[in-house]
Amino acid sequence: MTIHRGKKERLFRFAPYVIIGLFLVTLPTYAGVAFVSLLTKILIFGLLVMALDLLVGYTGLWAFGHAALFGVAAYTTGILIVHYDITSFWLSAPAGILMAVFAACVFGVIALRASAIYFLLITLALGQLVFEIVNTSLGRLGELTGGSDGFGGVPYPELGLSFSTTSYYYFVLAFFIVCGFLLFFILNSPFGHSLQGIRENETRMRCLGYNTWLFKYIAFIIAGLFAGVAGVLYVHFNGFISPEGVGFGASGLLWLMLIIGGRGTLWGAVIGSAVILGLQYYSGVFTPERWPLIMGACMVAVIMFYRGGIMLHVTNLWKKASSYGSAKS
Amino acid sequence: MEVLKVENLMQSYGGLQVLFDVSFSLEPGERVALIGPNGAGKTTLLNVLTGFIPSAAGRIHLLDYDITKMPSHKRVSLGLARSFQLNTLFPHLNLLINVLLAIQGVQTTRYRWIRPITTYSGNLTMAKELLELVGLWEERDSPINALSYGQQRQVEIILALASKPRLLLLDEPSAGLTSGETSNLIDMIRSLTRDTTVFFCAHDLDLVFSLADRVMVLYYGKIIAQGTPEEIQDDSSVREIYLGIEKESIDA
Repeated sequence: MTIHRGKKERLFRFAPYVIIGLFLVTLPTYAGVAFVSLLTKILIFGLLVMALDLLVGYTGLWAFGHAALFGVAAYTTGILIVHYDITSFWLSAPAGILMAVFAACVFGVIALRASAIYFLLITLALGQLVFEIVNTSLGRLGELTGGSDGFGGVPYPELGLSFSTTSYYYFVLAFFIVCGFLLFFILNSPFGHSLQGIRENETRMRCLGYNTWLFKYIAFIIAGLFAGVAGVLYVHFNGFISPEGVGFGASGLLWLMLIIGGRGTLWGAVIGSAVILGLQYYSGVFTPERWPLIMGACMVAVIMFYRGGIMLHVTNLWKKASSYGSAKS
Repeated sequence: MEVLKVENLMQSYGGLQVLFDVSFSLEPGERVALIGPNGAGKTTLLNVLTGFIPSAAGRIHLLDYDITKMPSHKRVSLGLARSFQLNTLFPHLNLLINVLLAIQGVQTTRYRWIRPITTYSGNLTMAKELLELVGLWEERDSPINALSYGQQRQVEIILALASKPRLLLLDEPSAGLTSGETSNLIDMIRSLTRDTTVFFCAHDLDLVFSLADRVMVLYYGKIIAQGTPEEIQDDSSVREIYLGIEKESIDA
C-alpha cells in the first residue's frame, strides 16, 4: 500500500530542486571568480548549518558547540597536510572526518546527560574547550596549530587534478548534493521521524519503546560527521584556519544562519548561510566596519517579520502556488 | 500466570507517602479499574509501573520478567503500553506520522534511515487499521493541532494500542470527553481481544462499571478494597470515602 500523489503535484514537488540544481551547475559559466568563491563558501557553511539543523531543528537538541566539530576536522586535515606531509586526500580527509566523529562521540556522551538549556551550556563549554586547545601557543601543540594566529598553507586537495576556484566549486557542490540528499533521506526515514518525535515529546517516545538517549546520541554523531565533511572542505577552500573559526563566535554565527534560514526546514540552512555570507561579503566591500550592525539588524528583522525563518515563508508561498497550479488543471 | 504482579510497592515524595505497601496482580485478559479520590496516588502508581519514577521499595513483575529497575522503553518491548491523562502527542507532526511512530516503536524499522517512513507498507496497513478503528483515516494528513480534543483523545489511546501490548495502562481515558464520545471509547476498549489485559484508572464511574471485571480502590496510597463492581458498590468503606455521609447518617 502506498499513498498516491498526482502527477502535477509531483511536478511541483521536484521542480524547485531541478531549477536550483541547474542554477548551481551552470553558474560558473556566467559569474565571476569572486562570486563562485563566495558560493563555494555558502555551500560549505550551508552543509555545516544543515548538520546543525539536524540537531536543533529536528531533534530539539540545542547544540552550541557545532563550530568546534567543524574545527576539529579542519585542524586535523590541515595539520596532517602541512606538518606531516600526508597530502593524499584519501588519507587526510577521512582522518579529519573521523576525528570530528570521534569528538562527537565523546562530546555526545558528556552533553547528553543534560537536556534543553543545560545541554546548550555543556556543548558551549566543550566548544570553548576545543577553542582553548587550538588557541594555546605553548609546546608541540602550539607549533602544530599556530596558536591564536592559526596556520595557513593548506592547498587544494591532491587528487591527481589541478583545482581552480571553479573546479573546486564543483568539487564542493558534489559533496554538498550528496550530503544534502543523505540528510534529506535520513530526515524522512523512520529514524528521522523518530528524531522529530523526540523533539515533539520525548516522554511519549520513551513510552512507545524508543531508547531516546541512543537516538539523540546517533543524531549527534551524524551531525558531527557532516560537520567534519564541511570542515575538511573548508580548510582546503580557505587554505587557512584559526581559532576564530572554532569558538563561541563561530558557533553563534551558525545559529544565526539557522534562525534566519529557518530551523527544522533543512534547506533553510543554506538560505541562512547565503544571506549571512552574502551580506558579510558585500558589506565587506562597502563598509566593513558596519558588518556587525547589519548582522544585528538582519537578526531583528527576521525575528520580527519572518519568524520561523525565510524558508518557512518561501515554502508556504510555494505550497499556495502549487495548490493553485494543481487546482487549475 | 499473572500478566502483572506488584509486591509491596512503596513510593514517597519527600515526607509524603504516596504509595504504601501496594500489592496486587492482574490475570491475563482482565479489565481492572483503579479508582480513588484525587491525590490517592493513581497516576503515581502508573508512573512507577511505566518506569518514569523508580519505586522506593517493592518489586514489579511483568509476565516472566522482573521489571522493577528496567528503563521505560524496554518495558514497552516486553508488552507494556500506556496512555496519558493529558494528551501527549506529537503536535507538529501529522496524524499518520504520529501513528507510524507508535507502531515502529517496538520494531527494528525505527532505526532504518534511507527509505521514507511512509513506504513501509506493513506499518502503513497497521496504521490504517488503527485509524479506521476510530474513524480518522481520512484525517491522516492533518496536523494533530487541527483535530478536536475528543479526536486527539482517541489518538492518544490508539498510540498506546499500536505496539499490540499485552498489558495496556490507561490513565483517565475518558477525561474531558462528552458522554457520546465516552460510549464510543467504551465500545473500542470492549472490542479489544482478551490477549490484551487492560488496567485503567478513572473518575468516571459509568466507565468503570461498564468496563471493569474487577475494581481496586486506592486511598492515600493504600489499596483499601478490591472486588467485582457490585461488591465495590456495596462496600461501606468505599461509600464512606466517596460519599462521606454514610457514617454520619448511620450515627444519626
